[in-house]
Amino acid sequence: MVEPGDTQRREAPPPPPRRTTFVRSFTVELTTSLIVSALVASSPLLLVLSRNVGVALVAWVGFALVLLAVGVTVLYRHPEILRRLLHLLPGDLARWSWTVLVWAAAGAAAAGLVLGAVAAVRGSLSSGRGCASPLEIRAMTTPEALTPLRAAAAAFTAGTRADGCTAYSVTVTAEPGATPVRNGFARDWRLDQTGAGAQLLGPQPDVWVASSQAEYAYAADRADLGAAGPPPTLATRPPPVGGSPMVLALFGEDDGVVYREASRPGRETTAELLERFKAAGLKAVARPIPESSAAALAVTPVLHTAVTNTGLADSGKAAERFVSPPDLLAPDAVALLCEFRERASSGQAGPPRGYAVAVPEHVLNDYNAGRALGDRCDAVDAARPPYDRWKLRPYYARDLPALDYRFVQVRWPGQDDRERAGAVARFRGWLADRPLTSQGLRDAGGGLRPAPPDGTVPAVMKGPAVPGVQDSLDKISSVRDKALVSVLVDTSGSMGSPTTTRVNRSRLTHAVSVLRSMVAQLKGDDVLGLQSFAKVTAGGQTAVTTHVRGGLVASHRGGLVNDRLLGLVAARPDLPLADAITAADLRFGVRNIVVVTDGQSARTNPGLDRALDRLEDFRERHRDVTVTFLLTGPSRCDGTPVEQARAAVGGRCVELNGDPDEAQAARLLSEMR
Amino acid sequence: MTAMGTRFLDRTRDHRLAALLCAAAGAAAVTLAAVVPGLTSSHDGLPGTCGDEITVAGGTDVSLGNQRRALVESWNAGARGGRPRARLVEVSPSADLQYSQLKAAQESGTCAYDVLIMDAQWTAEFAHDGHIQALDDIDRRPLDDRRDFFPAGLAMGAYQGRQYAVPFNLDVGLLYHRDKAELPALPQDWPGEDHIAQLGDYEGLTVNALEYVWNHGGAGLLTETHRPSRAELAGRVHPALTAVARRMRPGRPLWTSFARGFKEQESIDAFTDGGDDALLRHWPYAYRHFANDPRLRDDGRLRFGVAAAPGATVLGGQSLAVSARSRHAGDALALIGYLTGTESQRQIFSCGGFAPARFSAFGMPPGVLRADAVGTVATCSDRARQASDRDNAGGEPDSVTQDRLTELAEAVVTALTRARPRPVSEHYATFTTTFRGCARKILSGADVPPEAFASAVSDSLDGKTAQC
Repeated sequence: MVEPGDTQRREAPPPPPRRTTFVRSFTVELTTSLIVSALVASSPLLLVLSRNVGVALVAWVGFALVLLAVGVTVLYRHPEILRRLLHLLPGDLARWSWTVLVWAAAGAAAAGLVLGAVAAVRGSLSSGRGCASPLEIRAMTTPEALTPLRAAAAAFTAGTRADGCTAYSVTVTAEPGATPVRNGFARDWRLDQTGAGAQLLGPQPDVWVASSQAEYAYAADRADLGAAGPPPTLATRPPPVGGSPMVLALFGEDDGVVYREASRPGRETTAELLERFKAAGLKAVARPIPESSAAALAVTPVLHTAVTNTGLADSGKAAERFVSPPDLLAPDAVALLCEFRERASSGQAGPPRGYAVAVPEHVLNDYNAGRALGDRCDAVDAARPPYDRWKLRPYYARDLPALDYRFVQVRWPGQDDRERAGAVARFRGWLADRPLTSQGLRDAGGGLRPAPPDGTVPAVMKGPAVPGVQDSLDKISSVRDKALVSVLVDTSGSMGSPTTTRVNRSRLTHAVSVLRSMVAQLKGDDVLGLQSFAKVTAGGQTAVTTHVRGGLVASHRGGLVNDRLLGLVAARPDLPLADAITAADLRFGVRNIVVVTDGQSARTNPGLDRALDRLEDFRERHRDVTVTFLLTGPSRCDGTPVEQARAAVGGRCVELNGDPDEAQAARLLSEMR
Repeated sequence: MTAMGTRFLDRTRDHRLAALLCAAAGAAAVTLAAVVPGLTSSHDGLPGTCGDEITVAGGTDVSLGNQRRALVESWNAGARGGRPRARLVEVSPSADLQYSQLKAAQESGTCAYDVLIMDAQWTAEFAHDGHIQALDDIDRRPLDDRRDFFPAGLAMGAYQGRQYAVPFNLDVGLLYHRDKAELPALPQDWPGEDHIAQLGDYEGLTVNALEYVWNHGGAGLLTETHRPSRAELAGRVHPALTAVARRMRPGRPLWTSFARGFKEQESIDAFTDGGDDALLRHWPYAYRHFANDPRLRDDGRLRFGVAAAPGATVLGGQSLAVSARSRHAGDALALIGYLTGTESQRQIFSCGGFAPARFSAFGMPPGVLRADAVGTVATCSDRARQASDRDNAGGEPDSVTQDRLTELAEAVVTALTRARPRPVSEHYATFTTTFRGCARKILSGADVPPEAFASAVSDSLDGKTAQC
């Protein structure tokens, strides 16, 4: 086979000295290739310097078309070039590979140089203009892990900063509980429907730091959930970022009775610990509300068993009451511990005697150190009065579960762009290199860094895994008494006035918020109905309107009640309380009527004596029904006509206050079970 | 020269075009590898939620009686004419979380939202980053009655000479005083050691600290687009904060506001629980809160009053903007026109407790910003009686009478004449974090060198994080 060019070489004059030829040829070819490469590489300059991708794309395509046209024209006018090119293929390709590679590499290097120069120029220009806007990452975790995750996020944004400019901004929010999170993922992150649209659970998280593998698995399992819209994708096999065993803790005076130097932390069972706690006159274990705290949910089964086995309660139902003391109900562990700080700062003489608290170890450490606790309370000087008397000593048990925080990437349809995914991956990598152990959590092996100085805290404590969320929920449901509730909401015009206990809330919205928390804490076999009342002023209106008839919560009634609650509007004059109560929906064996009102007034309850007679008659006819007046304020329980109505009907009266909605709802429910 | 080099040389000399094409191919490969990843996107534009409705995204509707929802329902009920229905997506009551959701969603390029309800100070950043559209890109005359808007409110929605957002409701600082309180007469009299303010570690501290700066020697600095020099920051802003720090006396209300981290609710509680000489700086919505509290009423008489602060106050509020990715930009602008119309603005003031953005909502002629120009302001009950669909004549007499609403409107208008916007900067989020941190240190009495303060605040206006 004759190699192309051999003929030309035979006919050509004697070649010049080889060294000179090589240099000249190399120089010419290199210069030409640099020009072409620079032209090719310069086209992205339009893209890089332009903020408009569309314009840049048009410019790029135009440039490519021009190059193509020039190439076609040259080949059309000089067909011998095309022939020579075709001669190269394919037989001589192998022998040409070296030359091809060298020139391709030269072109690539030239393009790299141009691109690098462009990037440098752009960086220089932008440094003069100020920083670009940091990419927003939405992160969510349990209320208990807010403080450590926020600290880690702050370190991440600071650590990835360049020239003083932050590349990322991380906003960390608290999750509302395991079940709302699961429902939110299935329902486009909606909390509820409103008459005009929807309320979200907060920002849609790009990162979810779940409290355990069990909580992650519960959220990822979409069985039995009606999806609304395309659900987000949760990353599989989420990596751990830190752990924390659940502990029981005692205040100083109780601890003084119980503490034994000889005992080794973490060797006993929960039942054995509770046996020892009896010496301090243990009255209750304060555990947060499990519906809003994944940590509380995790610890509940073992607490039930231990409380029952030690005789502190004689049944599962009694055990649940033992771990839900009404004056220490809190939506999560940080709220519970902040309640103690609040009591300390308000001048209460000392911590309550006879109570143990069940919280994650790292939260307890933050509390004892006086650090801020999530969104609930600011830092205090824990070494000084009054806080120094309110420290809690942790007790470890080998059967108390350990939280095992997991980094879950969440990809929302429509918001799943490459930059966001890259930012989340970088955050995950950062946490993989720097797990939350520096924020007081333990490593995957249960080790604490740095190791604790004395023997009261185990250096290694790896408790059992958190039990399945649905199993724990089922266990709690099985030991709770059935609640049979009919809710009557006053929707008169005055309910649209502001509350005196919550900024930016009307009386109605405050009540609705607490009622929604109550609905979230109901179980499937509870019975619930919703009515509203206001005076009739025009045709077509009803005094007492039934929005949801009484029935089992399991049949999606909870969601329906929530939607209807959000749709309530304050309007029209007061309907006397007696008229409302006597029209309550008492089907399905309802035993509790909750009357939500601002208290009304004597003026809007004319003929009060006759009304009280009717209420006494109602009481006689429905001896098994308890009426609870839930007052939004400003009227108090001792105001007219509520005080008289309550006495006539033999019920109770509760005033809403500034406590967390979940706690107020839990207290209300605990009285109705 | 090696044999390999010789062959390379020969082939190159004989086939120059081929060599050239190889080099070009290498360059193209590198270029494409660098550029293509930036052009492709893995998201699908959220087809399921980019439907035919106009989606309005913002914070939870905390107005009394949920007036925002009521307005959207009213649009859907017929005000829309032949335009699409609207849907209100309420993210969170927290402004920080609203910002997080709206910013992240817009960064991702989603078309899920058509109208954004934004805090006024976000306008510059969202406009700069291309998240919202200039209104004249949608309609050549987007606001044909712009003279009816309070000019300062309208200016909050502008960026680099173009209008991006329309004010939905305004906020100005007002002074609430109990019967025996002595109102400050001069700008520099505010705050006194007995005054209550929002000095917790949140945006409220930035707002109060800016007012302290403007009224204590830093007038005209850190407002609008004027960028203060380091010398001004060190020589006028820092001394202003230091002067206020000297008024912090342990145990007194101003110190308590700072030491206990008062936010909006805590400051309201402190005013309500305070003595007859209590004095509080707060937003207009607090008026209805106090008016309905029995502790501040005496047989129908209100035991408090409201007045404009003597000096400059921060102008805030919320604006409505059209998302840059909206598929219903024209309809979204029409909805904004409805939500910011005179009747809607009257409703959010009389029933919702928020200050309106229009002269006509206060019965004032356009352009005349004087308290004595305030006309008749109907109460919510009056409005409800006029509109037969909402009978709000209620269970107890409406404590906010026409006279009281008018008194509040006059205080708002007077305050508006002295109101200044926060710094207009695409890096406002960085600025407020830095400025707040520095102000906290200075107000706590810590020694913060003026140069360090100036350097940190100046850098933050470029988006660079810094600390004092």
